[in-house]
Amino acid sequence: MSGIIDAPDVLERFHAELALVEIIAAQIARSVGRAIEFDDLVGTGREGLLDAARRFDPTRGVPFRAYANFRVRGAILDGLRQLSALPRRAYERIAALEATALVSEGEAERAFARGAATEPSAADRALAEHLSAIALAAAVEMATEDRGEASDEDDNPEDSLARAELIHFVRGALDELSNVEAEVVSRHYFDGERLEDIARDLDMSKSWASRVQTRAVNRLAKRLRSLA
Amino acid sequence: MVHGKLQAVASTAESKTTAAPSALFDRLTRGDLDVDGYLDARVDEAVAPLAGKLPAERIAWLRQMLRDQLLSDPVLSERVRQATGGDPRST
Repeated sequence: MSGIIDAPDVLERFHAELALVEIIAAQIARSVGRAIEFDDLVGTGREGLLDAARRFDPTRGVPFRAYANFRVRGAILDGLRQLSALPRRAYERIAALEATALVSEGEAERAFARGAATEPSAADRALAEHLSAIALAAAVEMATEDRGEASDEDDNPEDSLARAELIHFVRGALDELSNVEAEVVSRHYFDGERLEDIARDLDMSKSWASRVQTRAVNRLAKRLRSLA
Repeated sequence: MVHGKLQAVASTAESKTTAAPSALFDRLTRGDLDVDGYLDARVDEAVAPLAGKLPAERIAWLRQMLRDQLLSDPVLSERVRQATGGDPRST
């Protein structure tokens, strides 16, 4: 950690949510399913938590605990991505977890906005739509992930065909999105560009790009549900 | 299996309406379904359109991952809290 002396409120936020780091690290380790050094995940997660504590903006309406959850999760997944010699299956799962966090983060301000979707049946509809969006985003990331070492777990021809069908659906449905939505989806999910780089290129904030991405995925998921 | 029936009911409900309470939500509020059953069915419904578009083993992993996320993802757990009145969060 750097020699920065943090303000008391930063340190207070950090210490208040320190337990979150091990919980998230354990969940990610369980989901990825590999023998990963847990202490390394926790260390990376704590760096993410400190970063969150420093950057937190309460005016956005998202509680610190939620904001920190995304930052810790992102830090741990970034750290995992740097590991070499993981099998392809592990990279797929990391990509799916990243997509989940990305779609959720783009929805966070709406979910925590005062009075928004707090009526239970409206929240039920919002939950259904959000789950569909996450499922689609995670599936697309899994279908397009090509990092990692091949193994006997890799696809047979039928599995490859299934992935190709999903990619074909998403590419075909891009026409139904706005130009900026289509560009964000195409560049992130098919070209593998980081959202912050796309945002900078399009002269928008990362949080705005995150909302654009989530809105686009929601629309694609709705389209997919209509075909099912 | 109850989950299969719920999936069929949910699919029917979704295709008939976008504004009325869903069939799953109705079952939850009537007490015909507990929160765990409701969440399992919501995940099944989210994953169903991906059948045939992703290998079966990936879909099984995705289902389990989403189920875990309902408890740990801040937005999902907030939506669950708003819909069910409970607090499923472990984080």
